[in-house]
Amino acid sequence: MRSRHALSSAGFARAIESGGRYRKGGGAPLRAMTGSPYLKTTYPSDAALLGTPVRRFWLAVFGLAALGFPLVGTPVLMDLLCRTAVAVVGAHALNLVTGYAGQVSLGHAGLMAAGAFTAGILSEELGAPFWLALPAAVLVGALFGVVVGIPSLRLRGLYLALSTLALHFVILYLASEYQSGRGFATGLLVPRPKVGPWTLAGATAWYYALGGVATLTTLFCLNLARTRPGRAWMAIRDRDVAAASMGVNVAAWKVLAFVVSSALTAFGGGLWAYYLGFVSVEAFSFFLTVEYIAMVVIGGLGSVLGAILGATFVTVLPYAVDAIVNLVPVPDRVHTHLFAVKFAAFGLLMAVFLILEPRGLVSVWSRVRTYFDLWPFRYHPLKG
Amino acid sequence: MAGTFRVLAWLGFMALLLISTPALAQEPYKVGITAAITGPAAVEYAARVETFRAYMSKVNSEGGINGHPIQLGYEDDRGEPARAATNAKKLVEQEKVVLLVNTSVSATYKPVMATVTEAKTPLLFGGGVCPQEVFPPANPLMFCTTSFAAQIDSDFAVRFMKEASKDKVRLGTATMDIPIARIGIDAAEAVGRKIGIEIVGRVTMTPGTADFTPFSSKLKDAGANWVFAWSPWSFEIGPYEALLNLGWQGNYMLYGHQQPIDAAYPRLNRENLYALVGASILAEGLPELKAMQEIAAKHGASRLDVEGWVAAVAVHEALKACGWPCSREKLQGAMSGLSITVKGVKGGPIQWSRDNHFRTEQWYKVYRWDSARQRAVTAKEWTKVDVAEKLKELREIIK
Amino acid sequence: MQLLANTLALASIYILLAVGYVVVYRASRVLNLAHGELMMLAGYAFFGLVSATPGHPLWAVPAALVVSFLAGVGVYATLVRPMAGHPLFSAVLVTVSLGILLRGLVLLGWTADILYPLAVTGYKNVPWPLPGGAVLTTIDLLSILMAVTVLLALWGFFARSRLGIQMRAAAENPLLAAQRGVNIHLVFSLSWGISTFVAGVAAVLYASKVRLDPEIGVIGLRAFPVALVGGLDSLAGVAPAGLAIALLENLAIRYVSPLLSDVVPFLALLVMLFVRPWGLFGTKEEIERV
Repeated sequence: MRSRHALSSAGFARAIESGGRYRKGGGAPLRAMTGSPYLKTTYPSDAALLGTPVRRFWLAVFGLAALGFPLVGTPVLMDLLCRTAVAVVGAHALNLVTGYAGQVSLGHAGLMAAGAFTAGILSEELGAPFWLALPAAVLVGALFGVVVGIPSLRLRGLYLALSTLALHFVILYLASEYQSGRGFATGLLVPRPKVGPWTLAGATAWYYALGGVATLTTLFCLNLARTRPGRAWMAIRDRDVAAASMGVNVAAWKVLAFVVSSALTAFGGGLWAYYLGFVSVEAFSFFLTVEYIAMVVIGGLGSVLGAILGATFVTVLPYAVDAIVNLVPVPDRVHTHLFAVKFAAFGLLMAVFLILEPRGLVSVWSRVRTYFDLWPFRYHPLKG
Repeated sequence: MAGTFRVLAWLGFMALLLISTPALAQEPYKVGITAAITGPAAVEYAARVETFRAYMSKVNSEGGINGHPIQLGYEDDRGEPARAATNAKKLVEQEKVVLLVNTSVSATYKPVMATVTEAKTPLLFGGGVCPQEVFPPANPLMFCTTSFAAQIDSDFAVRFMKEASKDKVRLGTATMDIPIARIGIDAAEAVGRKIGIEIVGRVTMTPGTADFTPFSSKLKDAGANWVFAWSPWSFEIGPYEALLNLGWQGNYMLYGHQQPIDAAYPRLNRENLYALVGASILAEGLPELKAMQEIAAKHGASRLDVEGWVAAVAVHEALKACGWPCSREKLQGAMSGLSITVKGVKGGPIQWSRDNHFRTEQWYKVYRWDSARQRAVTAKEWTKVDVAEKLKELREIIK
Repeated sequence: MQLLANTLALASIYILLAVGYVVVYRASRVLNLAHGELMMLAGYAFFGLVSATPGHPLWAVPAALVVSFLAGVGVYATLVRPMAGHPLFSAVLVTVSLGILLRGLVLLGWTADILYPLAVTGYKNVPWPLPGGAVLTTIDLLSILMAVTVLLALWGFFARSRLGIQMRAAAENPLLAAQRGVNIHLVFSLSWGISTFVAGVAAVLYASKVRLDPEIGVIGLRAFPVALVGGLDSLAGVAPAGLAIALLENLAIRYVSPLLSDVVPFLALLVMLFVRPWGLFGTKEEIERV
């Protein structure tokens, strides 16, 4: 029976015979025979991020759309996308420590607060420019990462999560004391970032800036995940005893996971402070941590694409719910009750999604992609 | 049979659509509100928005302002600064409202203020505590109709306590751990010390407090015979009820936030609870308030909130003064000299000037409960406080 | 003396809520982060029933408890059972979503205004003077009594009754218990029902003593460290942990700084995590040796 897939055993054997040696640039005769870009014959081509023309094409389309979006976007949508970009950075950070390294961290909001407050305090008290304040925030985050990483050497699972939660409360307490003690009743104002004569202001400028940062962060995390750190973390996540016996320095990698993640989270917090122009301790409640965990879980734990999808989903969902509920015509008097409906609908949708797709949006995406990959018999089988 | 039913259902749906579409025969005035309609702060603010909406409904049903209807856009910010920022951007930049109203917690103020400053849109704080920016010298875009203000309230309360008390006042204070409330209580203590009151204790409660008993124990054991509380309602009444549960016999004074005080008085039925107010409470039974309640109910508000009503009247007067067409600049100018009177509700008008967007004169009244007559009675009649003078005085005292 | 009285009163509410966390964790190994909201729901059910039966308010109490029991069973059937076998994170997030949903529904049904069920019943919460100058109210005394009763009843149930032993078996090793003929789903739904039933008791007491509004679920979050300090799968640990944390909180409020009251439970938790991570009486779990 003819298998429609290019790798039917008879054809493959013949292809190997006819010169399919693993050599650089080799495999051209094979590809000519099958036409399938899924047949990788070199290590670099196997490891490539954009290995197939389809992916390259769609990424180019997406890139152009993203670049051109400000021409058609309303201020609200631009704001939403900017917030999504900041959320993506935070989600990547959480995904690194929880998805890849398997260490549960509930201190996310506290770490973002640490970054935001560092940036805010430095700009408010010392008048520091953003290219000093943001790296300082990253440094502070890294320090907290060490603090939170040490318990991870002794605790695991639920108990580690709780120690990170305790850190969250401690950071917020310190921030609150600072805010009240220094008289910032309604919060600290953070000025717009300036580089020389240029000030970063206006929806379009922020959109490009934050979009660029989010893209760079994604690349950074992809690189981490696909190279040694990522493999070490995944080994620790799956079976740390086995990882240790294979020579992975479990303690060092665990702490490193927390340090990198916390530094990135604090960076996200600093970005948030600059974008909003404002820092206040009320913005960093435990619910923010829950939102980020939701992003990572709904997106798909342990997947960079999952972090992006989850961040977008959780940020956009309340507004999507708002928009849909607003379509329903209701008499004026019931209007304010709609907000309770929207609030409830958000919770309901999240619960339903989690029940139906516990592996997250990435699994949905995989299924969709596989469907299109296998249709419609795009690649002809080997002849013979 | 099913087919006919379906047709009828569609016709009904269409009819509903037509009914609920506002009559946009005339171009409307566009006003936006960002409020804590859901979320932890909804206890205070949800009813304000409903009353505001009910009032505007009434105005529209009577023909609008200067012949044009008013179109309200509300957005829920749940008391979160980030959402408030987005709401402000949406209402100001996208919907292009001529006036933005902020009826939410003080944490939402800064981001909203940043957005309106960039777009030069007037901002009215209609129900949330008045921020520093509306006091002289006032920020040209910020206005406030809310009856309570941190330091001026505390000053009046403490002075009332001294004059009303037969014995020496040993004052305990209770507040919630939010910056604006702490500022209020700091002022109370500073003024208290100046006029010779002994401050025996202070409790600051975190927003997550579930049980007020330990805090009240502390005040009771410190020997307080008067306690002053200034914060969102739950944290004012919580320590009071806990003190009652401990068998405390002193006098308690708080700022009487609307409906909660109306319900609390008959429920608690105690004579030692004094409520400082800037607007009359419903329990007094004034005819003007009854009329307002009826109007609010007629237009679908679940209950009347006086702060929401006053804010709505302010917006009404402002738009009337602006005329048609009304631009943001013109409205800002009109508001800078506006005088708003709500009969029966306040002791005097809310008068704004170029420098003072809080009001030039603040009026206070103090109530207490009379259990024999089962209604709220006046403990001190409407008293005027000159705002500019008082602020100068406070600046001296609170160094 | 008043300090002791306050501690007992506060601890009793904490204990009642912490029991809910423990019972659910033993059964489903899930952290029910919606426990506070379920308690709030029970409070509103109580208010609704009290308002609906003006002549016979006391009937509302058992009725509200039955409603909360059924709510727990309902939560298990609709949300927890489908998540069996799925990652733990997702199950916990589902409970968080449930919490949001419940708050929204309550807002729709009753608006955000503060409600006072006790006032509707016509009863008053009176203070009783105790030896030593302390004062406790009727509800406080009732809370202490109910906490003790609930603990004793649950102990008796789990130790002696057939169903209780089945529940312990299912909690320890569900697969083995199922193979021995224990109806796992019945047992788990009962666990959830018991958890919300006890939360309902706490709700009725708290709503009568303090107030009822959509935000009273925060006390559920405060009781969470109590469950953890006592040992998340240990009912015996709930009482000492509750008393210890309530005492620490009251001491902090009185002698240190009132602002610490929020942080104290979590600080206690942090200390426990370093000293004895599995709680006072919890099951020892493997700890890393580095």
